[in-house]
Amino acid sequence: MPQSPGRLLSIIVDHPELLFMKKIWIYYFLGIAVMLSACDRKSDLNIDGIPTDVRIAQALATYQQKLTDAPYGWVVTQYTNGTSTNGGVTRNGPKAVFSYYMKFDKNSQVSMLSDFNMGAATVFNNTGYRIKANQRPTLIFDTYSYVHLPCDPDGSISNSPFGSGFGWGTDFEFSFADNVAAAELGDTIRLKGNLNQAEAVMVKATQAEQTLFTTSGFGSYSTFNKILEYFKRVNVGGVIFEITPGVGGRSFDIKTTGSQTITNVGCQFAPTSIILQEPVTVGGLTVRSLDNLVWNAGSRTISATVNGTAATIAPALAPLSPEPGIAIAFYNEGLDNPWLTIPGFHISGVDDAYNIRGLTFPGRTYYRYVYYPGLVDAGGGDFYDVLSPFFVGATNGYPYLFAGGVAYPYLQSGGRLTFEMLDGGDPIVNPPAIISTNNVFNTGKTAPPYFANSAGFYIVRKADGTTMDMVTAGDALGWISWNHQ
Amino acid sequence: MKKIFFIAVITLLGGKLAQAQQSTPSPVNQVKEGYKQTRANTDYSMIYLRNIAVTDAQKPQVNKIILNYLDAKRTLALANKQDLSVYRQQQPALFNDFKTKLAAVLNSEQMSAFMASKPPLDDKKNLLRGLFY
Repeated sequence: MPQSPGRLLSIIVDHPELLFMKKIWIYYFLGIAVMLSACDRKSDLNIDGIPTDVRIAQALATYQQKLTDAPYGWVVTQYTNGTSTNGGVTRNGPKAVFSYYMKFDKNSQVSMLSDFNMGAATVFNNTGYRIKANQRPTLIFDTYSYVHLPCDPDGSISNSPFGSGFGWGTDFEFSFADNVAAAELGDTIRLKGNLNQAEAVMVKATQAEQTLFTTSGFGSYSTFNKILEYFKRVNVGGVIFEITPGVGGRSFDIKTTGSQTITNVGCQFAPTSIILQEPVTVGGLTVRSLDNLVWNAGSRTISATVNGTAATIAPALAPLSPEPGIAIAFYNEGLDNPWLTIPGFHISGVDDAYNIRGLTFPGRTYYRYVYYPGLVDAGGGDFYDVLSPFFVGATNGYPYLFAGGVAYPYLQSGGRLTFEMLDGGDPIVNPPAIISTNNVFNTGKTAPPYFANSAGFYIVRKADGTTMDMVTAGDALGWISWNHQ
Repeated sequence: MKKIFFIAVITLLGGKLAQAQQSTPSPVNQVKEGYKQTRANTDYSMIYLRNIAVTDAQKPQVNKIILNYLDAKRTLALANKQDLSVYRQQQPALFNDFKTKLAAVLNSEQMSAFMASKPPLDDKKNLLRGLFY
């Protein structure tokens, strides 16, 4: 209802707080006006007159240009930090180094080689990549590639020792980690994995390196792995040391004559060299790399140089410095603390050659292969061992135990452990994977001709102190790694 | 009131989850527990009386007698592992007790077949040694 001025004046005199409220409204509207003016897009987000979106697009394009402008490609080395994360759970395990040769093109495709396995070391793989603005500029390998192999949670692909569901702790999405503008990046680019924080270093390849990669791939990897035996003996001008695979097979365990010291060192494969992550001192010799590796098919040895001195790498059937009492120590440690493994035997260069990871049994899921000594009554106060796969999901987790999974152990001369796999009479039929595995346990060899008596196994302690490798003493071509995980 | 109830439920679920995570057995313990269960549920008649036709009615009793006997033998062996002569002295009494119990379940023909299956002492790769010695 309209009010006369006289009436309004009398209202204000009676209620002065109404006048104060009006002031609040004035301040309110003034404040809104100031805030809106502060949100003007034209003002402070531009740098040098270039809007943020444009600057981000320019930076990403520059990163891509850096990658594609390397005329001979990049040598990329990825270093894990000994952890692997999946679904918020992190596990600890051995460290590893993975090397790649990559050539990026402008159509978001990258062709690469990797030292992951023999195929990847020589056959180029083409995959897609993107450079995207996440919290930091990020390089993403967005279709399955050699970079994804060690990340794969399927252990039968990654051969990761971190357990089911976990890769090696490598990544396939990397943030650019150099704190410089994209345009200022040089011949070396540092990356950091977005999930596992694995670090990677990209170094521009030379023309000579590109030629080597395109003609023979990761030649040092292919050459070194032509020796299929577990024990590789290196002789550098009379200085002898032994290389055996580190846990998971992505590093070296090094031992010297007469010494029980085990030195574990990461190894980076290059076209003709194997570069050790840290120098290793052996008999007064400091070994930083094994260079100029050449395979001699006739003698089944590798010629190389170490610090410029000629060297040979030869297969061996027995350890250079066997640990005294290791077989009985291995047996005793397992008495109340069973030895476990997920993959089965590595045979002649093939991990889990009989696909033990793929074992099935109705209503149950394969969990571990188990060596559990001293359990099954052998009479006279003696006991046989359990050497059989264990499944979860039912009360009888060892369905093949009495169908050939009971082992009669025997300690042989030279510290070898032999087994005779006993037929318990259970009519259940063993799958081929177990038949083949039991055959290796029975003979201590990976293939015929077999000896009249089993050659048994050498037990080799690994540098981590918790893993023991069981190596076929008959040919050193097969081994299985036991631990308590 | 609703909020208090909601918070209480969340706290309870969180506690249960943490407890479940803490109580997940290690692989070694899982494997050991699995062996205990397998041992308790094995059909021993199939292994130790493999050429003897044991009826379905006899099987549970036979398996229980064998398992108890193996338990007693293991206890005796582990207690005297430094001096197995004690084991060798006491094992025959355990075996006689086992034989008496088994004879109460098996008929005489089955029992004779079982006793005839005794392996020689030096047949170290015969699982039946586990019962007879």
